[in-house]
Amino acid sequence: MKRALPYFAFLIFLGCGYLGYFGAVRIAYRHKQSTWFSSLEKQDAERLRQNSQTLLALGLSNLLIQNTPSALQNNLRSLAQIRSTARQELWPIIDLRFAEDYAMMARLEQRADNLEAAAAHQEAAKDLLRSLGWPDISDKAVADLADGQLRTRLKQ
Amino acid sequence: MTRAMKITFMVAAIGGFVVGAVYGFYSANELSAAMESVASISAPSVISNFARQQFEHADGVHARQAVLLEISTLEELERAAHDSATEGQLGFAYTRLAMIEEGAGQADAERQALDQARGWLNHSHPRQERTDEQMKSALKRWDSAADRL
Repeated sequence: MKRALPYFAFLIFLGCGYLGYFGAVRIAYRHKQSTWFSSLEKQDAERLRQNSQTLLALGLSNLLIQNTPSALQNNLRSLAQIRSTARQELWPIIDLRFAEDYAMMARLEQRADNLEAAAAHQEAAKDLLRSLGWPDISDKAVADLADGQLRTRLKQ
Repeated sequence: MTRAMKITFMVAAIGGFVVGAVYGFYSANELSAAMESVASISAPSVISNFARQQFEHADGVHARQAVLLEISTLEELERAAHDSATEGQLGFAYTRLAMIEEGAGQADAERQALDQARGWLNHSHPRQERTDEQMKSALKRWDSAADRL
């Protein structure tokens, strides 16, 4: 036992170091995050903090999408989560992302000959675009939106 | 377990915790500063992209709402940290607002928005004088470049 003492002590040192590290990161990060944009007045800073975090999450959700309906479905779930914590003024931005994802899913289902699913996704996209004030929500307009997004957003 | 062993383990635990916590504190500071910068870059990009799409596709009311949201966010970011890139984006956002007002036949609102646009663009590039048409055509070029990305 005496011989193993330094090894045990070292293991305890590492274990407690790990706990201390992650505990401090969580607590200190949250504290520091609550001081972002602190040169503004309190209410403005709080609003900008919340909005910038939502917009950052939206930006990140865009980075790793792949061109499969299941990947897009996962992205829709993550968008729903972002929307549930976002301020109401940002909902239209998230709704446009929803519409783009539905339009892309419709296009992909169409290519795979799943016409029923394609039609359902296309309708969902149209409903959202209508709520965003798009006057032209024809099949062609939704297809153009999908093609543009498929060209620029998705990882192959 | 002897008393010496207990003391050794206790010292190892406290030492490890303190070293980890200090290291974690510095890491959190760095991470927070990095994330604040990323958020300051990402927010204008996402919101300006939304305003551009609404400007291209939505009716005047929704396009105006999108651009006003863009302007209020950019102005807050500008007040939080002066940045010539944000000033340039504000110049474009006000130019976009002016074009929406022009489309709605609101000449006074268009004039005010163009004056604001010129003010912000003069902040970011003080040596250049711009006409209204130059600002509008710069915005169109900017939008068509963004469409091609």
